[in-house]
Amino acid sequence: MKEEQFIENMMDKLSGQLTENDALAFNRKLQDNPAQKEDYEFFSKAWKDLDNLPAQSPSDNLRIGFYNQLDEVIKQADRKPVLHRLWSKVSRPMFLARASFAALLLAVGFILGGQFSGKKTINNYTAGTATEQQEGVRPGIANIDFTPANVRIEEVFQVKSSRTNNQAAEMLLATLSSDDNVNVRLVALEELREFASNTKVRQKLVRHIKKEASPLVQVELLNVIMESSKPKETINTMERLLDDKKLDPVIVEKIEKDLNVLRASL
Amino acid sequence: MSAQRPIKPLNVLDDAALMSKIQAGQSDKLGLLFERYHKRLYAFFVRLTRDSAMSEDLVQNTFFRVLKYKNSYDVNKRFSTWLYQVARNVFHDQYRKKSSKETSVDDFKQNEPIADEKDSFQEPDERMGLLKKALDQLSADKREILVLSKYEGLRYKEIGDILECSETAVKVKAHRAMKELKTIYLKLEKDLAV
Repeated sequence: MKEEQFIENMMDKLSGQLTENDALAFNRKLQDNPAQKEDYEFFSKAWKDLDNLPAQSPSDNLRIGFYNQLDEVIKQADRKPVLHRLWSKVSRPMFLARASFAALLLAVGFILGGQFSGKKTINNYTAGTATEQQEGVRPGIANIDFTPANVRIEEVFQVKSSRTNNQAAEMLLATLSSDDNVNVRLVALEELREFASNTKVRQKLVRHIKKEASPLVQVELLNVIMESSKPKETINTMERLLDDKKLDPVIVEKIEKDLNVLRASL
Repeated sequence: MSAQRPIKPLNVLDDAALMSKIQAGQSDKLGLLFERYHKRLYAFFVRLTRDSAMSEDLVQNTFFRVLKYKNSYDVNKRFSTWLYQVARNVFHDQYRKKSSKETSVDDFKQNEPIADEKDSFQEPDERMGLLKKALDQLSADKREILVLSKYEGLRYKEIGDILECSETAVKVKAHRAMKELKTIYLKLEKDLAV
């Protein structure tokens, strides 16, 4: 066995990567070479002892610092395309000429439009609604990029592992209110269950009941609220919900049954 | 009526899949990779630098370099190998910064125990204390190869990919590192006996 091969076998043996046959050949060679044997005995013991050296864990500052910086990066990435596009347009030499021409056309159009139509108004209702909808969208598990529901469910399960409690709760609430898939919303609600003892979270869940389209999710919302609130608070919440005449009859029936149980328990 | 809790999917996104999403612009997925690797990377840096605060900075820098150079990652290759390559570059950049202030890579608080570990170094087991000191006194490149092969759970082939050398060269380097560790250890032992 050549020197280099012997060294390779020694390191393989130390790390447990040596095959049985090679180990036999290595041991035979070791017996013939006292200096190498002495080395190996030291290495072997030191290799095992290295396992026992204390390991340190990072402080909480690492996680806090990382997520703060990540949030900044994400915010910047959201802003950058708009600024980038604006800058690239403004910085073009033809920009001013084009802008002037466009302004001229606009002025002509405005004058002509005013002459031909006194009744027509610009219908900005649709545009206004769209803006309101956009403003209403909150950061949740994105489904606008056609991510399949099973992937979104998987992501919902991982929200808690990579966020602080507040961030996780916000993200799950946003998913609950914006995802169009019932299963995703149910999973988000299930993950929110442990945050429901928080008054703010619970209030948002209560508000969501009326907006929720699926009776299945509504029922589950009621269960979560019942579990996490005091009976009196739950009774008040449910009585307010019953005032809503648009509520699904199944939900009304469930609320009435729950109310009877709660009132009896007082 | 209570909805049945859905079964968690078994095929949790692997590292390469998460990197694909990051490459597609979903930077928030970096958080999942951070959760998977930050402790290992921290241990790696602490063993190299002997400095806990600097190690935390290096870990953070590594992940944001992952984001910056996301497109240089080949999703068909093992992510951890690429991550350690990035981590090494971050470490060596830090060394270059230190070099400009006339220090050397071996000046990373060599011989100086980390504050939180001081007590553990004064343990009755003299042999462990000497081994720790010997490891700290190894040159940075030798310490690095021992840390990679001993603590990071990497095979020699992967270490070769990280260091951009052959598997055989890694084993020879690791052997040299062990030899130097032995020499330092025996010297420390001798000094202690005097």
